[in-house]
Amino acid sequence: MSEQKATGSGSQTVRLVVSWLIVGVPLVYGLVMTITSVTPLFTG
Amino acid sequence: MSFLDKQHTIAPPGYSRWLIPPAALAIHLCIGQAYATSVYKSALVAHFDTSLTAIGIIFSIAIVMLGVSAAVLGTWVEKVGPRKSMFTSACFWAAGFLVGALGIATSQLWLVYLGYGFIGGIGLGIGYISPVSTLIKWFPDRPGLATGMAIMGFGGGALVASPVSRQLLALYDPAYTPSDSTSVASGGAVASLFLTLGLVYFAVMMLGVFNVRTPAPGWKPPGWDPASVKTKALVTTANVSAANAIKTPQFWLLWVVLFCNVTAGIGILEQASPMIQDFFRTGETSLVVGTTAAGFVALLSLFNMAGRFVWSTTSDYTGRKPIYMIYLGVGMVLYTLLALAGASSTLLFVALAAVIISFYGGGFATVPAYLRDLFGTFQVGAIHGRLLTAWSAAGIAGPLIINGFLDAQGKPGELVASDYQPALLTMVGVLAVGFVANLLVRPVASRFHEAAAAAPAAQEVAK
Repeated sequence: MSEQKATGSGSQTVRLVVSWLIVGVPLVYGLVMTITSVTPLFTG
Repeated sequence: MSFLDKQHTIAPPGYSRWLIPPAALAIHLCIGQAYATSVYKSALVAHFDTSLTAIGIIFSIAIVMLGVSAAVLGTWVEKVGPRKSMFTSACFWAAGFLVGALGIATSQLWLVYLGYGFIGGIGLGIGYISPVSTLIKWFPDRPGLATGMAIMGFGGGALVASPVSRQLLALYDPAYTPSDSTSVASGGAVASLFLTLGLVYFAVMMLGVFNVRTPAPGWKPPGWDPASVKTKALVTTANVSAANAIKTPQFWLLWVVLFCNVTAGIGILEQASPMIQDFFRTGETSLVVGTTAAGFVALLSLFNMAGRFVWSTTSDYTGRKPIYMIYLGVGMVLYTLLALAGASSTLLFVALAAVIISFYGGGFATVPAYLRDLFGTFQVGAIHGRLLTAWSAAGIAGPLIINGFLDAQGKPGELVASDYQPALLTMVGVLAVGFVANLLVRPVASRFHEAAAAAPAAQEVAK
């Protein structure tokens, strides 16, 4: 990522963070919900 | 709408390539909902007062249309570029939900077939392949990592859509209890869910449309030497068109590899819940109860998704051919162990099945990079689209094989471990065919290569 660091502006950093959050937050939510439903497999 | 044109998607200097994976994920997370249809299946059966098979057809039409549209429209996707194709995918996918909602609200099942199945299925096919070629061009140094991230999103889409859909159904139908597996939501609630998903997915997919860029001609990652790929025997620096690719034995060998890998994975996925209960059944009762079986299905979803990212990324270091030898060769060993020793311990059964499913996901995610290695980047998206017909074929063959064998033994959910052995050992044979096909893969003959100047020129014309 060095090339991006060298030329990237602050707005691009914000865009990167927002873009990853928009896809990352639902994905993490889905993972947590799935892991929760896996629990009975090891406790049931 | 010139904003969508290919010439307006070329990245300005300094554009971060790390904006492309979330753009691809925005598409794949949305279309991955296709694997979360079980959430409202029983609600639709009750609403339309029809059979599970009639409702299952909705999903079958969507998957067939995925394969058909990816194969037929792959060249168009390459021609118009990722932004217009992602936008088109978003329109079809969202329209599919809206037409489906209308069908549910007016109790006309054929409209759901047309909407979610036919129109939505076209959105699935275009969406699945639209970011692949662009990702490979941005990450020539790590193509497995790049496509693994996107195709992991397709697996992750169901993990997101399932709990969200349950919560939304509870919101639209207060009588529906998400935690109660016998609770069935009303048709009106499913129609509202379709409407909501259609609008939200369209908005999220627009994130991909706005962020996606193609690298400028001649761009390469700093510090990366294109000559380094020449050191790997199967990796070409030449380019093969989609029309020529399907004339090569390599394309059809990979078709067989993908078909066998997917067919074997479906062998477990298709019957996961009754299978684990049957494996640990003594008489009328099973050691594994329904909630535990549901946990097993969720665990397989996790490994399916994780395998897509982990194995595809690993293939950047091992090479594509060796990693498919692992998917198929080790898969054969694991399938044999599952058939012969799986009933000895639930932990062993779960571990074997989880690794097998991670190979299933890995097979999906690694194949675009394998295609790039063999055919170059010129029309890799279109070639990938044509290869996905193997997925559609496996979607028919896998359930036919497993259900055919199990039907001869009795009814899944009332069987014992030994009843599964013929089906599972048949899958070992299927994997063996794929293993041999992978072994036979050699570099593509130079007569299929585009002339050195022709590929870039053709790309210019395509703009």
